[in-house]
Amino acid sequence: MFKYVFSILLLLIFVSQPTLVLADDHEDLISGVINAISIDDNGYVEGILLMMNNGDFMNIDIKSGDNPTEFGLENIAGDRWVGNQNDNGKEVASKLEDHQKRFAPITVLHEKGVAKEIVDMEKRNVSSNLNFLFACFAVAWIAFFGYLVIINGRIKKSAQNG
Amino acid sequence: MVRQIYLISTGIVFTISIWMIFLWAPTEINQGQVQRILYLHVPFAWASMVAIIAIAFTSFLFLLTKNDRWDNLSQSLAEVGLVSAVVMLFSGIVWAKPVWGVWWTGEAKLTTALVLFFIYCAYLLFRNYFPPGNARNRIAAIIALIGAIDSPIIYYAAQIWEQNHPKAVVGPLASEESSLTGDMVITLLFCVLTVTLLFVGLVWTQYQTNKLLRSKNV
Repeated sequence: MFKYVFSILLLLIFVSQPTLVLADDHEDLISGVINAISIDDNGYVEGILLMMNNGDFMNIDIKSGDNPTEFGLENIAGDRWVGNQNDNGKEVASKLEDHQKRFAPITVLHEKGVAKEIVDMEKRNVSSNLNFLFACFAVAWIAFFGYLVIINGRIKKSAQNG
Repeated sequence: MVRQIYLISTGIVFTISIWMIFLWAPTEINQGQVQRILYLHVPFAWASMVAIIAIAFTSFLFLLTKNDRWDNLSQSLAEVGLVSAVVMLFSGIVWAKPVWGVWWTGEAKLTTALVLFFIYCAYLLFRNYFPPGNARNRIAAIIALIGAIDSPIIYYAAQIWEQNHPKAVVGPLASEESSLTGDMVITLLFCVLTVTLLFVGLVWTQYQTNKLLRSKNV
């Protein structure tokens, strides 16, 4: 029984490794400064034009209603405001305009050009560190499945002595 | 038969949890992908902390009843608890490097977690190297009872000393500021369930194995 369970779990380790790389492959992180903001008649932000770190421009749509774009933006004093357009639409416009005037860089998590989250730019590359994640899960699984092998060895030893 | 069904169910739950961790849970905006270590670190921390409390409880029952069954259960819990503590410590160390910039700091939460690991080591080393018998089992039970004091200290450490380690993200100690929400909390709770099932399954198997070995005096 143990050898079958162990084989299945071992197979799971190898099968699931590519998922580390594929995790959230439909989402993308970009950073840059705001070049233009599109605001509708009600004061809600519809989208922004972002100039990215490599000099390219990208249109980002801002969502309200269901699953609105979440914001985490700081003012010049470092006070962080967290919210979305459903909570306070005009506050979003004001914060983004403030960032545009200050050329303050932002990081956008988006899916096909629709922003999911917008925050002040992180100083480091937030999408890296996969090697740490891999090391962590690999060691955890090796520890647990290694322990299963040890138990299996004990059962065999007991069977030999019996 | 019951054990086989249990192991297969655990395998299915384990597979679902892997899918939830890597494909379903959203990416945390500040830490990126590495934050997914949370779904491993917290459940194993939970398992290792609950295990030492369970060992203290079974040890207490052993001291009361002198029934060898409780001693066997304590030993089985300690072995699986040690594996959980190793995973908790290793995942914490690996997570700290990209997030804090260091592998380890001497703060209260980390130090008390390391002490828990040493308690498990001391308990199991004592059992292995002390001559078998009633005296060994009694002293081991007392070590477990004293060691269990560390568990609530670990749990409250981040609240009491307020250092780098984040406060509790779920449960009674989680504040509005520190608590997880949405898909992340569902994934975390599912992972806690998975690790609990794995833990119980391993303890169960270990208990049966020890029972067999003890009956044959191996």
